[in-house]
Amino acid sequence: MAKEKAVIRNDISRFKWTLIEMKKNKVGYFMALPFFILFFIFVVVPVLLSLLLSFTTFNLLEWPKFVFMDNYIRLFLDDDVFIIAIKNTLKFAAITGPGSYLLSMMFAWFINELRPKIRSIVTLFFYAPSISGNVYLIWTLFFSSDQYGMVNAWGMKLGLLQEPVLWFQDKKYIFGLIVAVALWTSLGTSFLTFIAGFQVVDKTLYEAGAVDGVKNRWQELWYITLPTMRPQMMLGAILAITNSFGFGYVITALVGFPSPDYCAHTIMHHLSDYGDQRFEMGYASAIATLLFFMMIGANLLVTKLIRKVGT
Amino acid sequence: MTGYRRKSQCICAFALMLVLVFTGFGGFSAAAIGDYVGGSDSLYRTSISEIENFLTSTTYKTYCDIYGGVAMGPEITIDVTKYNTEASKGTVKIVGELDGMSNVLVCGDDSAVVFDVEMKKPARYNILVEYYTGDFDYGEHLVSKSATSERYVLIDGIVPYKEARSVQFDRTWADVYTRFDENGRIIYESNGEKSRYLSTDKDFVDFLLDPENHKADSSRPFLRDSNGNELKPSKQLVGSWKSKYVYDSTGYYFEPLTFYFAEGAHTIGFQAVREPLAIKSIKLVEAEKTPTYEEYLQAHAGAADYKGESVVIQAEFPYMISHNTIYQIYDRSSAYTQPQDSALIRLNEIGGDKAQYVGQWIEWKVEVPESGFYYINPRSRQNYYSGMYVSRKIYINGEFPFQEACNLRFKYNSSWQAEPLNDGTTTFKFYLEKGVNTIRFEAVLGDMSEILSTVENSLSKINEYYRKILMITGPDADSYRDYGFDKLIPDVLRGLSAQSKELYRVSNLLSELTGDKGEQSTNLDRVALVCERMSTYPSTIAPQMKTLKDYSAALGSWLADAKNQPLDIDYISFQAVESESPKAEPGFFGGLWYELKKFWMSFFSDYNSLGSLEENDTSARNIKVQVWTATSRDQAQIIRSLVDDDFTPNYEDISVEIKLVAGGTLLPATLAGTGPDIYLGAGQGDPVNYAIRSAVLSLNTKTGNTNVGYNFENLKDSIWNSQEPDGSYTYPAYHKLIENNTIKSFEEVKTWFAPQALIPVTLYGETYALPMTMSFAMMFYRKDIFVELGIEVPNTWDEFYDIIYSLQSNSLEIGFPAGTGGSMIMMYQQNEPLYDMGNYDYYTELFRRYFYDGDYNTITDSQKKELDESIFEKGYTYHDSEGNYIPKTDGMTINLDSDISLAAFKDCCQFFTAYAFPKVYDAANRFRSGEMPLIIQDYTAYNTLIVFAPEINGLWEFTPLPGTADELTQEINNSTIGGISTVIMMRSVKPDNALGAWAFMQWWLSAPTQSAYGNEMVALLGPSAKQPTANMQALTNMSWSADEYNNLFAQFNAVACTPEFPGSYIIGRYTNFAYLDVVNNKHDPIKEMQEQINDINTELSRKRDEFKLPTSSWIKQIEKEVSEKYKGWDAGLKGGTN
Repeated sequence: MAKEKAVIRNDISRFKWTLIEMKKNKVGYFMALPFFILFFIFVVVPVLLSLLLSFTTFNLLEWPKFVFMDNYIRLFLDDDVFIIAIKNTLKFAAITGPGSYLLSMMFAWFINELRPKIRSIVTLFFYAPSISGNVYLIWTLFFSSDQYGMVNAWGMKLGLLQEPVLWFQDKKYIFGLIVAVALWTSLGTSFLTFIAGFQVVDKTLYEAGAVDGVKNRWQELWYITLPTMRPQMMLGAILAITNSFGFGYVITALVGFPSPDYCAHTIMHHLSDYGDQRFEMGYASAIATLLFFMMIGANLLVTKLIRKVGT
Repeated sequence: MTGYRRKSQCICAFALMLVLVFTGFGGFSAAAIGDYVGGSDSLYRTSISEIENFLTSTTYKTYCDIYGGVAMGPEITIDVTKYNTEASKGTVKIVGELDGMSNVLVCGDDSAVVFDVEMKKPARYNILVEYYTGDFDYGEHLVSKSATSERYVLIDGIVPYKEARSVQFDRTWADVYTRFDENGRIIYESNGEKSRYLSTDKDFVDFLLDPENHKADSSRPFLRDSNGNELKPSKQLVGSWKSKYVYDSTGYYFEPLTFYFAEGAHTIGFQAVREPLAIKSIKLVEAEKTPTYEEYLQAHAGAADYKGESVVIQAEFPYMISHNTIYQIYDRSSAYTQPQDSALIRLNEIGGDKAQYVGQWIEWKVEVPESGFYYINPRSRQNYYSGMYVSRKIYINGEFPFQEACNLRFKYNSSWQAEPLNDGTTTFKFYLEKGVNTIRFEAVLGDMSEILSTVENSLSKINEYYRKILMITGPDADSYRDYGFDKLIPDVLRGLSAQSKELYRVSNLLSELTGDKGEQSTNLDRVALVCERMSTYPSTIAPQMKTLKDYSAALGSWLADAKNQPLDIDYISFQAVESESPKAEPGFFGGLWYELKKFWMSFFSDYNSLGSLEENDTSARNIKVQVWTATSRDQAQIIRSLVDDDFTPNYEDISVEIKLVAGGTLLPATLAGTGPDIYLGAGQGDPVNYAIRSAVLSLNTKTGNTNVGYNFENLKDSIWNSQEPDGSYTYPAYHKLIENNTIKSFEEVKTWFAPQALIPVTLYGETYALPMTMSFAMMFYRKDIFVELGIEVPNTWDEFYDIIYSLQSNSLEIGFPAGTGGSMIMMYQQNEPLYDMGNYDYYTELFRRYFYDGDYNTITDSQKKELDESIFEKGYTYHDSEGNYIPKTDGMTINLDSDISLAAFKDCCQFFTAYAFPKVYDAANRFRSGEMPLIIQDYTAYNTLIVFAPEINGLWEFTPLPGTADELTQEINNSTIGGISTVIMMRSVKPDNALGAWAFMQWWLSAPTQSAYGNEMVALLGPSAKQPTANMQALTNMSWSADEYNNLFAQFNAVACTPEFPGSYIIGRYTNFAYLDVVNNKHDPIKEMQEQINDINTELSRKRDEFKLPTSSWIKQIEKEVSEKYKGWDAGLKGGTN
């Protein structure tokens, strides 16, 4: 291939520069095109549409009406349930996000110490709950509200309970239970990524570290292992956040919709409440937009935090 | 507030109702379906003393042990026309002629017919009844429906043993085939009807007897749909006179039942459970003894073994069948099933789980070339119950050839088998005369009958013991306490020990019979072990109660399964004795080739479309109606075939396309503009929800505004009159329909349903949909336990309170609807609606004063009229049926804060807080075990119980709910709250097919269609698929027994439905919050409910605001303005808010 004349970035406008670069890499763009088209149609367009809809009232069956900021004003000033939903979501995300993240990492770290064969068996053992679909429903069996439900029957037998407790219908217990379920199912994809991450750490780095004065396993973890596997940690964190924000369907499956006194009502629930039940898509879009920005914010925060690892 | 705590003195109301029932019951007169003030139900409840006559724990086995020694008596013929008219009850009639027989006794489905007999000396008898198997109709209670007739047999007014409680008289059914030409087009008679023939007709018999037609590639009598799949024929009853001994319908005993009579005068009674019965004669005789196999061989000693070619008949061509639930099915798993196609459905077998109940039979005709002994060799498969075998009994030419032939065994195997008929040890040969023979296979329990009957008896005994122990310990037995069972209930301990031994014995027997290594017998052993331990060490009873309960429930399910005798039959080969059986399955490569072909074809077959009949190809028709349903494929198929059979012939130019869609598709499809014209099975709130967003139009509007809705009468007129410029009609397709008045008016259709059923789909005078199903809570109770405890079924809530103590003091529980279901029922029983409604005069005046510009005191009548019209234009009022203006103020606020509502809520919460009713429970299981002998639940729970708990059949009943007595009249109002599913017509209907869509809608909801649909569902999916239809006439035609129907009908007339208003979704949510706070945290119910009222009202107002309807806050505001202008104007108008 003939050598092209070098173009200096400063000579031309930014737009032209981009065009030139794109022309040069057209094969790459061409190959990315199928994904980009799908991504655009099924992700970008809906997000933009929802942003637009959030400034309207739209009942799904009739043409939307533009109402400007009304939805947002109502959301923040005239919707008590939304405040509860935000509180629950943040509380839930704050506990289960880092909780599941740390749990995944700790388990991955421990498992990494095992011999390869045992490791794969143990990995499967921990990973199994999250691949087997609706396995969380087993909790409804344990905590069945029937007097013959496991926890109720044993509790009453041991004299701990006077009468059967409606575990998933009593706001005293719901939040604790769903946090427990969330943590239990959290050893999912991020856990696998961590295990993979631990494997790719260059062994020579540990030797170099030892020479440079790493005193214990903690220092090894903090200064060598974790900084090396930052990409995996990033992925894990994003998954953890997305999961903790999107845990709503499991809560609905366990507690029902809506939860008693909205005690486990998250933004996701609020969204589906207005979208599916009340036919108020405009308002639901406003909620979705807010949730979207909250998740972006949380991701930015996490990216920042992860940069701090190893420093 | 204590209205229903009051002791009811409802005798006069009761008497009134008696009159009402007897006069109003004939047909659905306006009086019967008028106001839903109940009370009539009391009549139908069987009294405790009556029940006692039917309940007996004696089994036939014990009965035989006692009376078995008595000799059979000489034959006695009973003249059925001389029945005892005094002792007989219900509708009984002597008919001059029925199908060639004169002087036939027809006894209705409500009857108890009694005959007198005189015994010279003590004797035992079999009872031989000659009855009619076909259809007949002699007026009310004497119309035969499709079910099997069932009777109690009473000797001297008492059921002598358990087995006499369900004696069945089966019917005979034939397939109805349609003639078609070589292109698959249906042939029509000259009168336009399809040309049809029965499987008992000569045409079909000729077809059957030709061996050419039983080859794998021969032409077949089944119609094919447009995709080429074979369609199963419909069924029809064939009438014939049949003599049958009174048999045990559970199948535990092969021999006809015997009855003992002491010396002297006796009565024999037949009490109806289900269906009328036409009897020609009854004989007391001794049934002939069936020879053993050896005797059978000796009797035909002269006959030679057949040596020739095998004669094969395809099993999917039966001559007759016993139940309309038995039909041709298809097998696509084996390449050797005849015929087989790699892509299309071939109805290549019969039976399966469609013919699995004891007593069901299938009959074929076969012509054999010479007289002699044959091997009968069906290619069959029993892949349903692993480790078990199913049994068949064979009849040849209506005769049961020898005793061993009732134990023909078919062992479990996942693949097809071809073995000559055998009983596990001996392979039998059967003597067939040259020429035509009929062969019948009847499902029986075979050798398993003794095991199963013992298990069933043990199980009911163990359940009884369990209950007796429970009455001492309560549901939470204390493991560490010595209850002293050996002193309190020594008989129970002895009983447990006996049952344990009994179960061990049959468990061994079972292992012997099936060669089972414990897979099946563990179910028995486990229960036996627990019983043994309990009886030996009474101190372990308490800790083992839960185990016993779980194990016996598992045994119950096992029993229910083991009684089923499913068997697939592909073809039957009549072949030479000792000859080789045909090959039942292909070899490895043969199978592989078939699977590959199937895989390849799967890329080209459309499995999701519901193909219509080919000849109904719809492209030619000008009116198209698209119907969506989100039910199962089976249901959609039934709808399809009903449309083909009934709608298309009657509404020729309307083509209907049925689509099976996933639930929840309607909304997105409507949004995208690709929705259907009609949607079947939408939820109760959907019509109003869609309507206020103008996606659904009213079906009965009087406004004349086409944006509000349709008026089909006007539409008919305009279609009738609309002509093209050249004088021809614009819509010729509709003309015939309108001329023949085939399309019913909305006003007529409306009367088909319970009057309240339209309330949820009606908003401010406009009805947006029609109800398809309606279900509601009724009271289920266990007769045997009520008799045991000597308590009466409660008619009022006062009586209900009384029996709480009787039941709870015996540690038995009551199932009551959790949440606010119960309190809503109580509210409606006191005529207290869910929303604030009414007070129209006040609001009308208020509106007038508010909207009138001048001084209202000097308004003239014409100005008033103008004013009313302008308020109507603004959308604050609507027209009622008389044309008055009614303000749209109903449903602005919730009525849950009225005194009565709060009291009802408090009382219901008390059931859970003070009376400790269980809040969550598995109703079917607890009802079956008897620890919850009274449950208020949806009546469709009947479906579950009838299949899931066969061992308590006949021991329970459902009746109308307890009612609340009116304080003044003492009339009992036993309303229940109904929930409906609906049929909606979407707005996407075009003007030219709107009438077509309505034509479909009124056809679909009409009684004949709904009852056909209901019966087809039962036929296809079994007795657990009874439809809770909303059409009152259709309910009559479904196969309910007379008692069930009476109870159901009584409650049907006392169903209230809650209206749907914008924002109604919020109510269930907040009231549930209140309920949960009360039961979980023991908060004060009244306070909790009041706290929710504000939130509910706010949401209602918000939603109403969205749709520009008057809201409570707006009303308050204008009230203020008006009262400033006109002081004291509302004196006397603003009374209560109801």
